[in-house]
Amino acid sequence: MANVNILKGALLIGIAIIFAIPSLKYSLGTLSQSGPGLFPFSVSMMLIAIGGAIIVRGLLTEPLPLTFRLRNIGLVTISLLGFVLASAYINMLAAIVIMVLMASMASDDFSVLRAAKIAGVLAAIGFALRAGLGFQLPLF
Amino acid sequence: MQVIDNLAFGFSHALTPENIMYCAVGCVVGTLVGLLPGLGPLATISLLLPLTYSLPTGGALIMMAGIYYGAQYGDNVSAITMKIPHAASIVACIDGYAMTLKGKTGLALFTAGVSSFIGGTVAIVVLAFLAPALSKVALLFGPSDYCSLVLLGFVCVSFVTTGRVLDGLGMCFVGVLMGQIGTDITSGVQRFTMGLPSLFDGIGVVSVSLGCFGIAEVTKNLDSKEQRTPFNGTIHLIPTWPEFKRIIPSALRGSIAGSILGIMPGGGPAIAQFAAYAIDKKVSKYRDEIGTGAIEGVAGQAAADEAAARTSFIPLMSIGIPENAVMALMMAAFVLKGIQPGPHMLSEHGDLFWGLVASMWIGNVFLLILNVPLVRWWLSVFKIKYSALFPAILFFCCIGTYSLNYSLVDILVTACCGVLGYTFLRFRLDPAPLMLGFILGPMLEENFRRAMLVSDGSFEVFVTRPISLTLLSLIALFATWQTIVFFRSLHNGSFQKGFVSAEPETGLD
Repeated sequence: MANVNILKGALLIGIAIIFAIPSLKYSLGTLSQSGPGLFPFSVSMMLIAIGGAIIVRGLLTEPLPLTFRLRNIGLVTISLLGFVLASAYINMLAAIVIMVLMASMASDDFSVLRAAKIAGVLAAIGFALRAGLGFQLPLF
Repeated sequence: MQVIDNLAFGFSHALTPENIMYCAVGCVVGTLVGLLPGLGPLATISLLLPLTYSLPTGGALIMMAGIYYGAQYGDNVSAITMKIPHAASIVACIDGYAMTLKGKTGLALFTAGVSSFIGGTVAIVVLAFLAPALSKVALLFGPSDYCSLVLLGFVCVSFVTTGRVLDGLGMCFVGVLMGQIGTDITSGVQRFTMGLPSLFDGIGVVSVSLGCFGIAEVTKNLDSKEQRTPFNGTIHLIPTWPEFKRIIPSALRGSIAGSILGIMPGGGPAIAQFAAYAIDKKVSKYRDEIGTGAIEGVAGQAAADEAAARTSFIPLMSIGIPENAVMALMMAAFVLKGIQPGPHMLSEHGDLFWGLVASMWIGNVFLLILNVPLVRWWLSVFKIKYSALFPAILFFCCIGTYSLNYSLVDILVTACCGVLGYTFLRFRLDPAPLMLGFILGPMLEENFRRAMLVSDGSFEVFVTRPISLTLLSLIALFATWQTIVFFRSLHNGSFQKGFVSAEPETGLD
């Protein structure tokens, strides 16, 4: 079973390593004349220490299962990606429709009609923001 | 008297028709969005931040502050009527909801509104006296003192928001590392940008906050598939005279507790509410009723909430160090508008400073005359289905990130932050401390490098300067205490979380 109490320590260590390795490429310098790599490297090391301590604590305490549902966060991310791509290649009105349709699939009671209604309302809000508050949205 | 002059000066700025309007809009919109389930103050503020992009600086700050304490009141309302807690309204769920069950929703809402007003008023007096004095003290701070203060802030925030210092500290440091992305100011070297030009200026604070709080929280709510039953009871707002008399002493006690706790590092509403509730349970004349729906159980915590929300501006505006995640976001909003909060804010932007202080009181009046009576209409936002609400929230996340720099790449960065924030939530790591680390990271680095430069690479400077030594000893004391608590709980066979753990209530799962 995946134990969150231990895994979160591992997650933090992983993040620390992602930052620690490139920071070695920037010059570390000395303490009094520190280079651009020194501070991120030291912070990464501290984060590794914290992650280690969390793992130790996790071994000493009751395990807790990890629940991670890929479906919803996946749909949300894809819908945002769709919004960006459609805004770049078509326009933001199309982007709104695409985003709402894709994101709505994450809810239990998906209906195209309701998604279309929501998209309509949001498009109207988009126009209002553009006209009223001076947001320069490339709506069409 | 100087304070009265200052406040009068502030009111002359805050009482212009435009600024009154910004304040009113901020309060109302903040309350409305604050009511929405699953959106805490951090998400609310970052969602509404775009509204202020095109406003003049003074108006924008006033509106942001209005959104903040409006959201606070909104949290209280959803706690009282439907037992939906946010970080700052956990206690309101106890007696507030108990009063709703007794059919006294109106009285509870009225109590919360009036107590908030009392708390806010007391806090503004404290703010007006203390902020100028503290900004003089802040001028004594050297680079090493700033470093120690930031670290103390990290430790305190980690403890208060998560109840587990290690988890919180880890998140603070992740935030610090994320803040490292971009061009190093001292050497001009690009760090962690992977050669992407859009990262040369670093990750935007709006992307981080909308991703980690907006998108991540929305997705988590989608996962839980909770159905909220909208509030359908009746609301009678006007209390009887004996009921009204019971509000005052408790609200005053809460105001004082809140004002003090609001100034402490890591302090703010999240912790003030517990203190006020505990005090009332000890000293109130009606202490036996507290827990079963007593006026005191609502009044004290609401006053403390509001007082702490305002006095937590003191460290931000006079020292330049935000003491909790919400204030860190406020600081980012200030900086977006070209204002650097800190000891010089008072002398350089006196009009903005005192205008903001005065507007907080005006905001209080709006909460009382606008939001308390209108609350039954506000509650109708709960009739909107979540499946209709969340695409709209995503849309506002997109618009909010896009319109800051008119860059579509920023939306991608926000989406990445969303995935990251969601992962943290699933791993039971509260992302709130990350915000503080992200905002304070660059400041920590700059001061650390400066301290090391001055001391010629010796760490002694951290213990030879009295301010820094005091702050570091506090951290050491705290660490020792936490370690003892942990091993003792292991010994007793059950691992207890810290005394203010928000984890079950804020629904990390």
